[in-house]
Amino acid sequence: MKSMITDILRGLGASVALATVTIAGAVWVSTAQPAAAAAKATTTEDTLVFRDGRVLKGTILSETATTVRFKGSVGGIAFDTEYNRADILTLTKGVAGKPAPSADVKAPDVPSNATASADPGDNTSKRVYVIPLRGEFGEDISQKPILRCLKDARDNKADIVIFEIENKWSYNSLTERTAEDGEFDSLGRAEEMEAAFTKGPVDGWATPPRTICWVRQAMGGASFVPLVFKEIYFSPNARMGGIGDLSLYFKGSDENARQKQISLRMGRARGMAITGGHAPELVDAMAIREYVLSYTFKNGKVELLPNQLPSGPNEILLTDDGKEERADDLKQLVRGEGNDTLTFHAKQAQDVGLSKGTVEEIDELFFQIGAGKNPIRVDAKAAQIMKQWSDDIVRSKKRLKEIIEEYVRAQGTAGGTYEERTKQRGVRRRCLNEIKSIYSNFGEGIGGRWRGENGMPPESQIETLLKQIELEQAADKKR
Amino acid sequence: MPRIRTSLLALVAGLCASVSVGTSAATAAPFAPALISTADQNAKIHLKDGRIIEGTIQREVNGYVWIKARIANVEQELTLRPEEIDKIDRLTGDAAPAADAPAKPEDAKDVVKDPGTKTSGAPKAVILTLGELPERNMVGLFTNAKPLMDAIPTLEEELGKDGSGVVILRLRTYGGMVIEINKLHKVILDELKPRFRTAGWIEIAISAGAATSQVLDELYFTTPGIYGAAVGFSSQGGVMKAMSGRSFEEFLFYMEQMSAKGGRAPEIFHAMQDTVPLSCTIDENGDVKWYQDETSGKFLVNPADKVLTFNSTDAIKYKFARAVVDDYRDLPKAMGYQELSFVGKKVNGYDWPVSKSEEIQLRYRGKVFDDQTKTNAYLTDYQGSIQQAQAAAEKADKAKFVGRARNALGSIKSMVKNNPNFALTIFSQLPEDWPTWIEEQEKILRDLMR
Repeated sequence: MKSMITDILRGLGASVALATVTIAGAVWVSTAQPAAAAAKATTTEDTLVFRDGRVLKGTILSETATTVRFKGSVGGIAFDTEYNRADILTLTKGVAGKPAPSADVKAPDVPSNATASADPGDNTSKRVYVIPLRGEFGEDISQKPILRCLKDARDNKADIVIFEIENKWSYNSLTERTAEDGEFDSLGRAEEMEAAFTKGPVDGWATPPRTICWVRQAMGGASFVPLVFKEIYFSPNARMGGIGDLSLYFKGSDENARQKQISLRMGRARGMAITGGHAPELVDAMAIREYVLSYTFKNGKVELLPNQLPSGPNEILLTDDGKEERADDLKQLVRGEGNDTLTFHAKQAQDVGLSKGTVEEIDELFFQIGAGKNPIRVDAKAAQIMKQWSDDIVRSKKRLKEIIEEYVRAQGTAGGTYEERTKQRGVRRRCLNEIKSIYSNFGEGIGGRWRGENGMPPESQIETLLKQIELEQAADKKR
Repeated sequence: MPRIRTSLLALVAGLCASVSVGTSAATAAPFAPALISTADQNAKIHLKDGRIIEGTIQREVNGYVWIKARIANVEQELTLRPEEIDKIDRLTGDAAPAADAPAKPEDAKDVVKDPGTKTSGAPKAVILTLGELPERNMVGLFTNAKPLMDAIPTLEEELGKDGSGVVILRLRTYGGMVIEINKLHKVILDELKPRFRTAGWIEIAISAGAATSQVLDELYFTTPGIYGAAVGFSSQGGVMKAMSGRSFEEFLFYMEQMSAKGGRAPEIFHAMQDTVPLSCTIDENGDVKWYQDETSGKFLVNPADKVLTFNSTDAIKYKFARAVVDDYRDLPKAMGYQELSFVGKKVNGYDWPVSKSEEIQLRYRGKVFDDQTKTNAYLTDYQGSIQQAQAAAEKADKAKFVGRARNALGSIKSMVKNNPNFALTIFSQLPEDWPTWIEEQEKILRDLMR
């Protein structure tokens, strides 16, 4: 019996605490209680067993067809969280009925800031590496720094890698983009990065870590990134979408050619969803304006209803076809409440099973994913690696502009002596080679749009210019 | 997931003969309040469907068991329901393999040996890539018949000539030139298939990539794999026009024939070439019958107003592909081998051994990429040097620039030799006219020196 109780306590992340600690308004009493009392407490508590093996004990506050609201504590921190029924394997109510409110729940825990040594029996705490993906998608958020972080995570033997994504979704400091601005073809940039998320945490790892995507904002091309993850969590204000413009592509082309282009793009995006184990219909709803998707719940599980508007109160609309009176109006668009194409918010994402949960703080996420009582952060360098990359991109762009100016200046000094002309060509050659070098090292983070707007030559043009300079020099005479 | 399923099915054969003297599921299932056990324990779990899962139990709750097992060399955590479990043999000491220890072939007959290691007797295999992402994948430019043809002697050296060798073509292309499709078909049908077992491993086979793969009767998909969207089109000023009229009918007819070579119903590829419907029915024997309409088949595969692109889920569901395989080490099992000996060496950045035959593909694409980037530079040098030679008053200067022009022409000849399609796409010369064009250029250079 004793070992059984020990197991139960270990399952709860429990340890012995001698002090009375007040956390989150609840009074937590010393856990130095007799084993029998503890055993009694377990029989009166409700138990949730999750599909991933986690077990929680506490109080079921409310239940719906799809969710269970649950109150309990782990690591001394009280929580009150809503779970998807789909993630729950079994739900057992305490045999003695509902336990008393939280103040009376004897949670045999210590605060989460206790050191791991406070609980010698705690062998569940995981080494966690959080990679912050912030800034412009495809520039600040790019594969090279992500792979550097993953190497660091590997060196630090991370058990879990969390990609926290919050991409910039504005044209400039004054103008926010809207979900309808869309940029489906940033899929190509997401595709370039895909291997960093799928293979990066596998290649070279003795034991690949568990990977999780925590979405704070994934708009435009960034919205494809979470799709390749099996475990996605949202923050309460998260958005994921902004790719609803695919139907507008190639409008001037004939229909067969247009459908081909749409088909291959959707194929690729659906493939990403399949990689993450998500329903491809969700991508259709995000990308295609005419696509209609509703959902309902059967036996606590979500059931998607493609091409159907809701036909009853138990069916919920995700996206309509945007036609006639169903077209989003300005008021809806401004408030981000349009549904002609789907931009996921936290609740919808959780309802349809895309997201496993909604968490505001990283500690909540650690708890939700079962990272153990005292997760060990091993990501001290992650933010610096990502920032260094962003700084490098800023510096590279600045330098590229300077180089172009220098090149143009050198070009304008034609004439003079043979030596002066030779020197001028040397400057131009150096400028072009420096551009090549910057492209080679940082090109992936310098977007095509920026290059176009700032008159940056493509690689093929640089090669041609270099050859022209060579030819000019060969033709020049010392006079 | 299909990989897991395939692997589990394989385990049935490998482990069902094991004798177990364990507790039954009923007794193994904890009873209240002994709900939870968290101790890691090696065990062999016999399932009611005959499968046996061997690994380390991570947790047990109310009869549910979470077990970490290595299946087909891939460590997986499975959740088993009480009603699935027949009995559990709990092993102690070294009786069971650690979940993270490499599987030993003798542990189970069907476990795949490390395929990177040559084993005498095992058929040899190579993986050849048709295209690379993100840039080097266009059919006709990077994905061409020529490097495959060039690799045949090396393939025979690497795989032998006894017909036991296996060539796996990894497709990674978004399509390209229609003119290359027939050449690719010829090298696959006339050169590869007669010599080796030849299969397609689909990552991206779009448009001409799908058309190319249609002659392969054996397809495996990666999880995100896609195949289809093969509408032929031309583009002018950003406006695309789909192939139509006679050329479309010819292409359709041609692909019907090629579909037959791959043992596929022609209706499938038609739905990839045009906005036509496709439905199918899978009978009780698992045979699929295809219909070029929306309603005759039980499953609507493609609506009338869309162009078909298969994903891995549908490719398996409709038996277009044989299995989903993400790791090359799982290919042998998917292809029905006990083991395959993959020829090649480990190279950083590659997911499988790189053979000499594959190096030919990589070198080819590397040169095409370099030539593509420098095409204008070659032309600028060539034309600029001719102009300088024409303008030069002194013979020495003329000779210097003719020499430069010859070098530039040499680069041009080399790029077309590597990829003959450059003759057409850059110089508007049919392949048969290319030697004449070169002769004309050489004559111009000779005349300049007179």
